[in-house]
Amino acid sequence: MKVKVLRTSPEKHFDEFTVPFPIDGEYTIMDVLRYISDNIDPTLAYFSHAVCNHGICGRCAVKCNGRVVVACITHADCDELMLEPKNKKVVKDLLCQ
Amino acid sequence: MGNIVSKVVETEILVVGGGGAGITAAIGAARSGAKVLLVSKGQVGNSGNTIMIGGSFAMDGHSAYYDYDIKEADKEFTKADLYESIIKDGFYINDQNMVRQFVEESPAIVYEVVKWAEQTGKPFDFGPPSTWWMSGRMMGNALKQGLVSTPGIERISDIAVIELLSDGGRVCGALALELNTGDFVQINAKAVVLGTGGFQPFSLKNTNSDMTGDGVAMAFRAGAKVSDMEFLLFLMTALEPQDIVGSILPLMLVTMPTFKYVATDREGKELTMPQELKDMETKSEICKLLHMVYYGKTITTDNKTDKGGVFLKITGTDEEINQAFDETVELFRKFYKEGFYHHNDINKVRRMCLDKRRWEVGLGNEYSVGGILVNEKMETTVKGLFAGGECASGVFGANRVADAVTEMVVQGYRAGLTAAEYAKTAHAGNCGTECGSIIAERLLEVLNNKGGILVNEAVRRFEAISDKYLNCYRDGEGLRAAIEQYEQLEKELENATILCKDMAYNAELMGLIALKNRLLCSKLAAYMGEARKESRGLHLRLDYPNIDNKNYFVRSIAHKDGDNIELSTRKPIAGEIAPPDYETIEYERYLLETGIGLENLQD
Repeated sequence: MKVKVLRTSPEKHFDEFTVPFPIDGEYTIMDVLRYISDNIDPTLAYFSHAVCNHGICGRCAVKCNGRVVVACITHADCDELMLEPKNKKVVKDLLCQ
Repeated sequence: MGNIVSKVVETEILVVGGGGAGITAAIGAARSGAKVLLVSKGQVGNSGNTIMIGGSFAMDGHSAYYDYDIKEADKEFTKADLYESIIKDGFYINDQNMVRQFVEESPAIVYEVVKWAEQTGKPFDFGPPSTWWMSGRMMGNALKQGLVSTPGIERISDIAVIELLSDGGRVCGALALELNTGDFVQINAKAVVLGTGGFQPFSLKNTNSDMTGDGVAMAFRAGAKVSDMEFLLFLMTALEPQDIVGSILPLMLVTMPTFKYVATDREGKELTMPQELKDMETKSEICKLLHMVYYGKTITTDNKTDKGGVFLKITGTDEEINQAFDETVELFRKFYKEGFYHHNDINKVRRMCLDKRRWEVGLGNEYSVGGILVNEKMETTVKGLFAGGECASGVFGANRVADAVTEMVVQGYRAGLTAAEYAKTAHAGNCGTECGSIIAERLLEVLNNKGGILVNEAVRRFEAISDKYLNCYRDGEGLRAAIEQYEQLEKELENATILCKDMAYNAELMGLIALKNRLLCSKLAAYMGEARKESRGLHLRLDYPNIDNKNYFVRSIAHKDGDNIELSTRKPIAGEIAPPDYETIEYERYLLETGIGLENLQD
């Protein structure tokens, strides 16, 4: 699947990544983000330091294709994902206060 | 580089950790009149393994019935019963002063947490013998309720303590990194309490990503003794369907009497356990240990499944399978959206089980029994440093069955009280900002490295070593290989390369700090595991399958001596329960004849 991610450094722009996941919805947005940071670009910032990964803490929310969702419980089930920060209080990339 | 510490905070008691141990420590210290700062790498009350609870905690039934007037409690389940169970389940190497503290002090703090939950409007659910059920979020909210009703506690979230500061052999503060800004903060305190949780060395996760052993590693580096690191508790964890990998839902299912299954390896060969032990699966959390003992060996061989686990071959009828899932849905209906456990879709798993009659599961590490060596007052071996909850050690010996949730609140609260008492007479340390700056500057040198190992690659290597050599079953050759490979990786990390040079939310730098701590804890586990040439509790040796009381009726201890690790042992602290009178015993015979298995899963 193609994943476009809004980056904030050095200035706002979209980076596009290709992630080899099937689009049957078995993988989550968090899996996609982790794949990118583990295998393609470790500088990507998203909520990753105290992740529960089971939809409990609710802190990994991002905007996916225009809708704010909790990344670790939302299935990545389409050909193209556009990921943006959930609000305007952006710390870096997808991470917000 | 100038003064790299951008902020200095003064307090009396610094409490590190935003879960149950840290929060109760902060409350205990503040009630004693101390000025308290509570800091957490995640969000206070909404991070760490506290929110992964799913979930119960308990006191003895006698106290619940007579002291707290809970008439549904089993009054026959006494403190003496709980005490004896903890020791038998711990294979007798518990420090009995720690067990006494757990048993005697738990009713008051457990009941208080129950009351905090009532104040949030989401009360816990009581069940026999004297257990309260809740979700992790409910527990987090209850603890936060306790926190807001206690004056005198300041808190900061999303700040990682990266090193303790010492002055003349006494801990007097810590250096922390504000994660969002990348600013270094020095916190000066008369005493520091660690409630930072355990460590998790493996690739399969069933816990919060905070389980990085920060407190244990920092305490060790500050000169504190740590102990019993070889005892790691695993539990049955989903390897499918993909979207719930890491869920402990399989464990919930197998404790349902109508969920009938036989575990098999990849070829379909059945993995059996004696019927007397199989019968305990639905009654006691000793089932976690039994799964390790009887299914864990397969996971260390080529007969494991493709995803590194075993299959549960589901043998019941459709009706029985449906009943087991119905009961699971019913059990969790009060805490989660109907049909869900946390956010795992229980009915999706039901359909998979009905259709395939098979479930691929692994054994995931959820809890570390070992940690910082403390006494019953939660004093570590270093002045000014206190620890409680999973980052501490001693109460559960070689295996835990009783509640870790109770442990975190009963030890956390005590640690806070003791630290406050200490702070009344201790004078402030003499750490200028140069103390923190030296540590920060050394850390930041990594940003200049080029061409070294990337952090993510190092994490993968580290977890692969742990998966291979430190898993449920170990042997001497493997543990020596683990030590060698961990130390090699440690050396390579000195030249680790971080691509992101910007300090604000630098995930690679955060990952490197966490990895170094996990690596140190795991290395200590491998050293202790190698030295313990027997099987006991959660330490299962292929090359030494028996329990050896003649040589290893001891706690494993390590401390830092310069750059070296000094290993030692000592006898567990004695108490009312006499040690076993046999020198050696076959592991399975111990399981069958000792009367292990605190019955904490009654419906």
